[in-house]
Amino acid sequence: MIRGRFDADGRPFLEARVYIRSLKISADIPFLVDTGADRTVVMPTDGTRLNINYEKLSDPITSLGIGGASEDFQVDATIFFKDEDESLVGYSCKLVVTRPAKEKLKLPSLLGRNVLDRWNLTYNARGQDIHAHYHDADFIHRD
Amino acid sequence: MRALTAAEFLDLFGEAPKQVVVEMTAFSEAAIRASEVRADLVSQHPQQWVGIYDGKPEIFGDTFQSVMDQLEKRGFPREEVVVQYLDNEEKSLIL
Repeated sequence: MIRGRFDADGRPFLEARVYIRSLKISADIPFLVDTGADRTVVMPTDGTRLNINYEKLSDPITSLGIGGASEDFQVDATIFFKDEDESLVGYSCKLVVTRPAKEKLKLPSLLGRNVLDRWNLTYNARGQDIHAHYHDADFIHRD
Repeated sequence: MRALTAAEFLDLFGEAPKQVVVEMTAFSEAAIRASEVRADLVSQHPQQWVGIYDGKPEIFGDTFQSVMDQLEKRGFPREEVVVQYLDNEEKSLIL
């Protein structure tokens, strides 16, 4: 079982280890669980924190959000989650990396349906419980 | 689903899975602690940015960049730091 948490504002988060081989990045990111997001997105707060070199991003993509359309990038990535039994469960996907912009700095990175669709997700805000059972994964490591 | 041995994981991702588990656990625990102290931080440092390392608020700044610059200067591993804006006005997040 992969367990998340609710933050002080009641928003559901899950931490994950993200590998972006082309950018030599390996780091943990707190993702807001967002069933409305088609894809998993790294917002500028995390992108900057991880030292993403935006000049090296070359695969553009247009994203549509409540703020309108934005020209972003996509990169191949593998995202690992920690199971309660300490297994590592990994998903290969195209990760959307949002261009740095002042108005996006306060937004959390998003865990979208390209990952969530592979889980059975339990969301219980009243009980402060968010957890997932995975149907499948691309990689799994069990000690 | 491809089952990876520790050696295969290391080969593919450059890190030992045991160490990854330790680091991910520490990062999650730090994020929980950051969330627990958020209300106090918002009242003490409204409308500031904060860099939280290992669950402790270490750096405050008026801008995101000023916090990142101080993190760099003071030698914090920036990939392990949680950076947040301490907004004292309730805003709905609609994504």
